Amino acid sequence: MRRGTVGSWILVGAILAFLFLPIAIVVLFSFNAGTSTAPPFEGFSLRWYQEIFSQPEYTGALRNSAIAAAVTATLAVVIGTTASYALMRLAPRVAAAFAALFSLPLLVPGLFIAVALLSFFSRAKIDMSLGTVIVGHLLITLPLVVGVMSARLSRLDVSMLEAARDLGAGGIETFFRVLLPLLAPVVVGVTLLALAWSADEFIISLYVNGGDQTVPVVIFGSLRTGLDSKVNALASTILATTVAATVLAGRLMSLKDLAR
Amino acid sequence: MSAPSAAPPATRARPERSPAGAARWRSRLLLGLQLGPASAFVVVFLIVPFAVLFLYSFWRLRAYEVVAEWNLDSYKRVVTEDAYRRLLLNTLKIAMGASVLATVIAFAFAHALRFRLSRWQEPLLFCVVVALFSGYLVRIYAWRTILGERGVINESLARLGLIDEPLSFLLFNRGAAIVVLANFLVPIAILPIYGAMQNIRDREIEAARDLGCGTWTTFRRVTLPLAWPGVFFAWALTFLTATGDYLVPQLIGGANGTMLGVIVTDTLNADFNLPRGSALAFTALVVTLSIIALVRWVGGKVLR
Repeated sequence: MRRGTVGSWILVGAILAFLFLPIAIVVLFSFNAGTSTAPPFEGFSLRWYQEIFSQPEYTGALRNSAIAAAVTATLAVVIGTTASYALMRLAPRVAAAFAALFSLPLLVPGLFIAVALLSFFSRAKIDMSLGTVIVGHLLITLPLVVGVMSARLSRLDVSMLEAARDLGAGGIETFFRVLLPLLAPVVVGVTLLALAWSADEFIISLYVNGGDQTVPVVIFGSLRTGLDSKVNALASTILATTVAATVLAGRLMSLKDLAR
Repeated sequence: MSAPSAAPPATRARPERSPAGAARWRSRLLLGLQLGPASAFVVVFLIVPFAVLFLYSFWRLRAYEVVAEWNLDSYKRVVTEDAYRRLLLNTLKIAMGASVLATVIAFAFAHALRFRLSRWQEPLLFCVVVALFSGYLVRIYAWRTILGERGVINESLARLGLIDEPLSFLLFNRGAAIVVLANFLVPIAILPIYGAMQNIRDREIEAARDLGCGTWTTFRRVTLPLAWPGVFFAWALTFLTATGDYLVPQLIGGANGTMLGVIVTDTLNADFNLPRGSALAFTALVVTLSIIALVRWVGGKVLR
C-alpha cells in the first residue's frame, strides 16, 4: 500500500460516515418495536410500515409521489433527450446558449422557483394540484436529464450516425433506429434518476401542491408536530425507492456522466 | 467533446433529391421541433414566472391584492429596515459557512478519489450519487432525530449516565444549521470537483514533481488551479442552494439560525405580501450573485 493510502481511506471513510450515518439511524429506528425514534432499540418490528401502508393519509401521499415521479420522469426524459440530440448538432455557441437555458433551473434556489411558480399560477388563475407539482418537478429534473444525455452524446461514436446518414437515413430515422437503441441503457438510467429526484423534491411540492401532498410534504407536516416512528418508516420508504433507482441506474449507465 | 459536424445531417443525406435550400429549411424545422418543447417549458414556467415576480416587487399591495402601481417601497423597506438587514447578513453567514465547509469536505473527498484511491473510483462515486439522491428531507429529518432533545445523542448520553438533562446546545443554533446544511450539500459539491479533477492528467502532476515541486507546491500551483473551475462551480452552486434553503433554518437553526427562506415564506403566506416577499428574494439573489462574481474574479486573479 502506498504511503498516504491508509490516510485517504480514513478520510474518505469519515466523510462517508458523515453522509450516511444520519440516514442509517432513521432506517434503523423505522424497524423499532417501541415508539421511540432514539435508543434504546426495542427489537425488530414492521409495525410502522404496516401503519403507513394502511392509513389513507400516508397511502395517498405515496400514491401522489409515485404518480408525480412517473409522469415527471417520462416527460423530462422525452423532451430532455430530444433537446440534447438537437444540441449535439448545433453550432457550439448556439448549443452553449441553449444548454445554459436548460441548466437555469439548477442554478436558481428551489425556494425562489417555488415562490415564482406560486405567484405565476395564482396570477394565471391555475389551481394548484398534482399537475402543478409535476410542472415544478419537471423544471428541476430537466437539467439533470439534459446534463447526463449531453455528456453521454458527447462520448458517442459519431461514425455510427454518419454511417446511417451515408446509407440514406434521415434525421428522424437515424434518431429512432440508430441513436435510441445505442442510448437505451442511459435513457432508462436517467429515467430512474429523474424518478428519484422527483420523489425527494420538497420545497416546490410544498408551495404548489394545493392539497395533493407528496411524501416529503407529509413528512414535513409531521416533523412540525414532533418525531414519530411512522415518519421514520415513511422516510425509509422514499429512501428505499431512491436508492433502488440509483443502484439500477448505476448498472445501466456511467455515473461519471453526472460529474462534469 | 468530439466536435459534432456543423452541417445539419439532412443536407448531407439527400443533396441530390431536394434542393439545398429546402433541405436546410427542413433540418431547421426538425431542430426547432426537438428544442422547442424543452425551451418553451423553461421559458413559460421559469423565466415568465420570474418576470412576473420581478414586476410584483415594484407593485403595491392594496387590500391583499397586488395592483400595478409602480413604486420602490418594498425595496426601500428591505434595504433600510434593520430586521431585514440582520436577516440577510445571517443568511449569508450561514450559507457561506455551509458552502465553504461542504466544498472543503468535497474537495478532500474528490482529491482522495482521483489521486489516491483511483482503483475504487466507481464504487465510491456510486456512494456519492446514492447520497445525492437520498438527499434533502430525509437527511434533515435524520439530524432532528440525532440532535433533538429526545434524540439519539441525548438519549444515549442519558442512558450512559453522563448527563441528567438533555443537552440543549445541540440543536437550534447557527453551528447546527451550518453542519446540517453542509451535510446535504457535500454530494452536490463532490460531482463538479471530481469532474474537473478527471481532466487533470497524471503527467501534469508528474511533470511538476520532476521539476522539483513538493507536495504542497504541486497542489497549490498545479492541482488547485486546474481543478478551480469545478471547485468554484461547486462552491457557487452550494452557496446559492444554501441561501434559498427553507427547512434547515426552520427545523435546525432556531432563533439565530433564521434565514431568508423562512421570512420570505412568512411574508407570502402569513402577510400575503407578494411585493415585499419578492423584493426580499430578488435583493438576496442580487447580493448572492454579486458575492459569487467577486469570488470568481478574486479566484481567477489569485490562482493564475
